[in-house]
Amino acid sequence: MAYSAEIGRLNPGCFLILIDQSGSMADVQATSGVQKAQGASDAVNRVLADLVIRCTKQEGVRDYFHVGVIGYGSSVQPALAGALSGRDLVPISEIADLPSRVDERMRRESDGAGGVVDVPTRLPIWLEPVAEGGTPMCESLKLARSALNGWVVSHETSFPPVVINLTDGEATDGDPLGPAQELVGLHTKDGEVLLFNCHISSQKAQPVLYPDSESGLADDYAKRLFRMSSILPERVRAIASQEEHNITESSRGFVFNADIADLVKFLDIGTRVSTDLR
Amino acid sequence: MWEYEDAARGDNTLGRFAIADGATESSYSGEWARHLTSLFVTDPPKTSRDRHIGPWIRKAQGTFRASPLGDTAPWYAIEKARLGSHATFLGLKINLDSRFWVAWAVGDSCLFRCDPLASSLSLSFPIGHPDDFNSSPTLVGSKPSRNTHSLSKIWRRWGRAQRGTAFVMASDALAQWILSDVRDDGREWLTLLTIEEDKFPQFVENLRTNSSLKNDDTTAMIVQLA
Repeated sequence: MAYSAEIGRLNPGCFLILIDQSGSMADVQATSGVQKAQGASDAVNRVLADLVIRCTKQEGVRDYFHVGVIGYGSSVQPALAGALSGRDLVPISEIADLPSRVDERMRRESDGAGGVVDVPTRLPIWLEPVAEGGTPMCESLKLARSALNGWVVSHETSFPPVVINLTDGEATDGDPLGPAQELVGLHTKDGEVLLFNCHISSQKAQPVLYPDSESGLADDYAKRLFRMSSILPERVRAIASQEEHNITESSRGFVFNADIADLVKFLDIGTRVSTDLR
Repeated sequence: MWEYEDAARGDNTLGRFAIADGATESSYSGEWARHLTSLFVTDPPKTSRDRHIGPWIRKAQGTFRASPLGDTAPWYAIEKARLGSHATFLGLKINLDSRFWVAWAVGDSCLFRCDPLASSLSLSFPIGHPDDFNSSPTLVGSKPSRNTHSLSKIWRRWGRAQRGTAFVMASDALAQWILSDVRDDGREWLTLLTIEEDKFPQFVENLRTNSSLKNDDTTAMIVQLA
């Protein structure tokens, strides 16, 4: 059965995030009240931190995953900052040890006795918000393919890589459907590369969450992103069903008109390919 | 291969038995599981008829000391420790004179009761069907701030057992296998009632090899009433 490989140090998983860094990402997301670029980079930093913590055992961080981030705007290139600058796929232990900086913020938490308490938490930063230029999504999909081409060969028994594309608008360098299809043509023995797409809206708009058909989608742009999105494999579908209603066997890894909270949940669901890391 | 993060403690003279299954993704979950089971045997919940063992869980939280981090611990070790440890829990108290028993469960470690001579299950608690196991059981947390969910998900059962009754306490993988075998009218699960402790690892390995048993920490405690 496809998409059933267990994640382990000998069989690591792989996540590659493509993040739109075009000029329009400087706009404010109306529901969340934050700049889309800031909200998206915060969400990516948060999911990277969560992945590191999930991989942390008593002796250190185990390399259960390889991770990369590609930004596309005025240029298309790996987007991790600091010592990881220029790297496309990085073992999670190096992500853990080499954030660009670590901020400290106060987080409000339950105290377990009905009250709340402010707790200092550490926020590592790997990705800075960027918003300039056009939307060369086709080129980013091609760069993703070239980054994963060798990985799927050297990890042929692994769970296939998951590519997560975060965008607020249409590609400006052509129709991305072709490059998307070439990307998901890569595969390990456990299945084809998965491509999940999240569209971030500036307005307060009703989101479309993990649809299983085009019929509820208003325009051609949304339909194109739907066609580019892979069907959720069973173990990801199980996680999505805990968070969202109306998940079916044909539901795709696709959200349209997401706000920042939807985006955070999308990244969390898309990176839950294993709940049991040994 | 991997760390064993389950725990099991029992005392035949006191009639107190507990198993706990540490969550792999939490730090020090094996230590937390051992702490819960030890505390249940040495200082169990006081009131047999009280479902809400929240105060007992808070006592466990208050007395748990995970290994301290050094001053130069990296950010991820600090954040991981801040989240605390997590485990499922199953505790069984039996009054050896009256044979009155009470059990509390959080999560998917299960208690089975087998009546004498019937060679069948008369109780499966808190889960009764093999399809009802999932990858996200409720867990008891070592930090009060991360435990509010489990306090509303504490299950309790009680009764009076007959002479010769056997209780089987099993962590999730084995519990699911037992229920699958019973559902399929199998009798292989009965082997557990008489298996010797040193034969248990091979028994588990055989089941894993033929894919009957999920590859997970596996714990069983058999309590046979005379």
